[in-house]
Amino acid sequence: MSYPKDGGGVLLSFVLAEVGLWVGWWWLFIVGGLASGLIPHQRHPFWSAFVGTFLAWAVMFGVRLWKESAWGQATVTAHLAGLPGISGALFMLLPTWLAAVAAGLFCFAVMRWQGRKGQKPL
Amino acid sequence: MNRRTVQRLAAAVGGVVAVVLLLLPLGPLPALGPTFNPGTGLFHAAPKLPGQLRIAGLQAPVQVNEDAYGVPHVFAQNEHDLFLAQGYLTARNRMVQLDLMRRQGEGRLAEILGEAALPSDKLQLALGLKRTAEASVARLRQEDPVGYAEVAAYTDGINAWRSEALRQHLLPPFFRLLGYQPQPWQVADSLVIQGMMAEDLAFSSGPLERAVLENHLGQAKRAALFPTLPVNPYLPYDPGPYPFSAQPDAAALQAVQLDFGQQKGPGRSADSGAVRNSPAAAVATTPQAKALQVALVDQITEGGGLFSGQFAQALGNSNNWVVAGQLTDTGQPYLAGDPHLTLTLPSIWFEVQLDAPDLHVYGVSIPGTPGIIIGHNANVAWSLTNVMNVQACYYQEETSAAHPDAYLHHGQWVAFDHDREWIPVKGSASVPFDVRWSVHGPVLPQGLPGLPVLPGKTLAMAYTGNLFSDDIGALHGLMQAKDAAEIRAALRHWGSPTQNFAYATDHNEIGILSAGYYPVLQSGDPNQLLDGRGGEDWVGLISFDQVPQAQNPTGGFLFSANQREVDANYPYNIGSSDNDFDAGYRARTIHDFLADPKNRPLTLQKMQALQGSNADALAKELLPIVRKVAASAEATPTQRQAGMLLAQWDGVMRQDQAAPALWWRFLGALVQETFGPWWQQAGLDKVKRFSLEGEPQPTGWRGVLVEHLETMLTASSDSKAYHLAADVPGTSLTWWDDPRTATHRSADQVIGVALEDAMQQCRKQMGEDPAKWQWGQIHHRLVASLTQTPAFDRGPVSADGDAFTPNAAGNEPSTAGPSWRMIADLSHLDRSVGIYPGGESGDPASPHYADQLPLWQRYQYKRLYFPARPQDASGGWVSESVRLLPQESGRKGGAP
Repeated sequence: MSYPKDGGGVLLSFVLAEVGLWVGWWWLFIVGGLASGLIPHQRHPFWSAFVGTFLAWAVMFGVRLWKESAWGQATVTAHLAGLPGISGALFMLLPTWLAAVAAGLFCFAVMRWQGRKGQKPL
Repeated sequence: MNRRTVQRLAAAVGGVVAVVLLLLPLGPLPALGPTFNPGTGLFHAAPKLPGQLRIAGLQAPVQVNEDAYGVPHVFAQNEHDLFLAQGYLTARNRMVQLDLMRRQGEGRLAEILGEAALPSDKLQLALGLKRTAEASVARLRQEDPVGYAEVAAYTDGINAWRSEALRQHLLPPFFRLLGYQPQPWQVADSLVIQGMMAEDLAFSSGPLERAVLENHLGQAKRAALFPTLPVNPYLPYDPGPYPFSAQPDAAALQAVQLDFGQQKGPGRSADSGAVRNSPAAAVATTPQAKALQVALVDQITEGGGLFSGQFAQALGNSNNWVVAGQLTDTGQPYLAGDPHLTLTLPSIWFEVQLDAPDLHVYGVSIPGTPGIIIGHNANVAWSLTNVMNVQACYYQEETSAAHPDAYLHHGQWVAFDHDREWIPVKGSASVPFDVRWSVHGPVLPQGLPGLPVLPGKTLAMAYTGNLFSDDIGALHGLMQAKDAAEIRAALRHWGSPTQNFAYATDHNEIGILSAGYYPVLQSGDPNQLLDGRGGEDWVGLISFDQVPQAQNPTGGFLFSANQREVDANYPYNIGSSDNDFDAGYRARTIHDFLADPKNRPLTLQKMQALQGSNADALAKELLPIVRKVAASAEATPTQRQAGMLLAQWDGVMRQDQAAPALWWRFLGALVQETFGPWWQQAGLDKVKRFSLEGEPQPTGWRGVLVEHLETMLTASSDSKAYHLAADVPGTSLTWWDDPRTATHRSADQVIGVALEDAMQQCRKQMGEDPAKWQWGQIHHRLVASLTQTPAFDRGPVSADGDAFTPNAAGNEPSTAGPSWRMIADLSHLDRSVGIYPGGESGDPASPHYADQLPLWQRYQYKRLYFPARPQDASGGWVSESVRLLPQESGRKGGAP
């Protein structure tokens, strides 16, 4: 991930995913993944979008945890659904991971579609 | 296909799959992406109130100071803003509760919970809460515009929060999991909540139960066991004299009848039904949290609903009393009140101070209704207990195959009115539900949850809850009252449910007034099934001046604890001892304490001690008799052992002692041993609802069987009272005897057997060593979450008290009891204290979810700060402050 162009991919996917979360378009990470695939010469296209998206969601979760006791709502949700409270963590991790994986795969697919090289997706 | 193509296709497909996984429900969970993303997902709790907040609809700034328990003290410049702010703050804390309550009352739970909730919806639609509420809105607007404006402002406040929550994704997870959004609040919704309380406190299936009992026991035995007047001594707070004869107030009844059954009027219009419950109105929902649905549905179908374990005034126990300045340390009155209701989290109460130029009150409100119900203003204080008079009458309509869909009334065959409702059902098509109405009221379909089944009868219900009742106006008057005369004037507006309003003023006035509707029949007994042909119709109400009441008694105190308010000379039949009025043991403990000169002067601390008293008056009365049997020469070793356990006991139901456990098991066994054979002979032991099996037998039918036992054990055997209580009509037997073998048994014999049984039960439940027995091992309190989520419950924890103690704690686990304890000090209202077993917030993650509960469990109170101005924050009691500002034109609400 030290390759400079990868940083561009991370940044772009991060920004688009983060903006999406702020304005209420949570699905904007998809655009972020696709757009970051357009950045040329990335060595790790999957990971750049994955990391960018993951970080964007994680940062937003951090804000929620810090300012709005999101952990409380996560455990409340888990209990309401008949699950152990600790599974509230999964409600944060699982969607974040899925979004990051999707963004990474889209990024990789776009890059391959354009005929540019990148490392194997995973 | 080359490798690169495969890779790009695989990556694209993989990405799509990941997105699809985010969009599809996962097991019991809704779609992960929309629900659990950190932007718009459910991770937003309602944040702490910021320093300033703009709210749509406000006319001027409103100051809100929260104390350490999150109780808002609201200071507004006009009443409109005051009630709007109250609605906003209530919704902010209790949106789930608000929506569940109105859904239950309006028969719309199946819309979010599915088919299993249909019985509950059908029951509510049959009882008519929604129709009554909708019809009442127009009456309220016309007859009490101030009250209407109050509810309208409160409604606006709820909707202001709803809009803000939707816009900022602040709805509680409950809504997200069930996949719906609460619809805008309407004025009628608040009246539905009022109707829910009336149902909880005024609706009774007593006549139906008596009919079933009569079918098995026969009329004579039923009448002997379940008489209109209690067989034991009781303490009416209004013992007369009654300088009037029964003269029903026909005009009063006519004035409050709503226009049902005429195919016209607001309650009957096709629009009102169609708009809210038409097939098209069903919300689009997605498969959601099954566990949550199942838990909710279980509660609904097992009990009367989400908010009451049972119907028929079964849980409406409460205490209140007032003592005049001549008996107190301050020279001014104290008022004490603790309404006993189902204890839930969140609580049925939302505590609040409300302050506007002409209104200064502190107390508890019911979420969904404006103002306060119990509390005080700057001059007067009041608290409520349930009157328990008969407010639901059942008419057996005569029908004929020759006159289909009609009933006989005053010699004419009258067509039933039909009311069709559509019940939206989650996951399936809306279900039509037809309710027929006679002139008496709705015809109840057989098989509604919580109601006994009487096959082959067409039963219509006349219920005071279906009359127009301006309780909003009454409470508004109370909130502004300055003396007893103004209190009484305000209570003229109170209708349903009937309540004993205990009040005290800073003019050293005290009183109790049992305000509300008391139906009077042309003839017949309202405790029985009535003849629907016209001769036993309601012909009026008891006029306001003749309802039970007392003011400034010479003894210096008044009290009510659901005991019958009046004595046998009261000229009206207001109800029956069973299923209605309480057995009177709490009243006895309260009376004895207040009347005892040793307790003078009465202080705030003594009032607190009495509210937390676990003295069982029945135990105190019967203990010497039981001990005597256990110490007799004929006693078995086990009975002697029981006697020793009870020997030093003072009749106080403490959780850490063995004797209370033995006593309660003994009392249950005594009821079982005495009446069980009669039940068995009559086949009542096979009827689920009427079995004597199980825990609740001593308190069944509000303890009427225990009242018999008390009199049979304490009255002289040659007295009229004894024979009234003990003799079995049509036989030479007493209830002590075994009818199956016609064997005579003495009271001592039955007591002995019951002691043996109780000891055996205790050994089985708590082990062989009585030294290790404790009441708290087998008696617990449970404050359950409304969502039926065990993690959000508090308890069960070991508990003091029983069904007959002022600190009411009946059943196991005890899920009802003092829902709010308040003592108002009329010498200095700012010194008043209160507590309730819950907290202001309905959010289990909030620090204010149950932060008052520990104090309540320890019989402690918190001071009810009552500042006259928002700047009065001496003592550092203000925890948070927020200024609510009018919304600027063109801006949406929210933090500025």
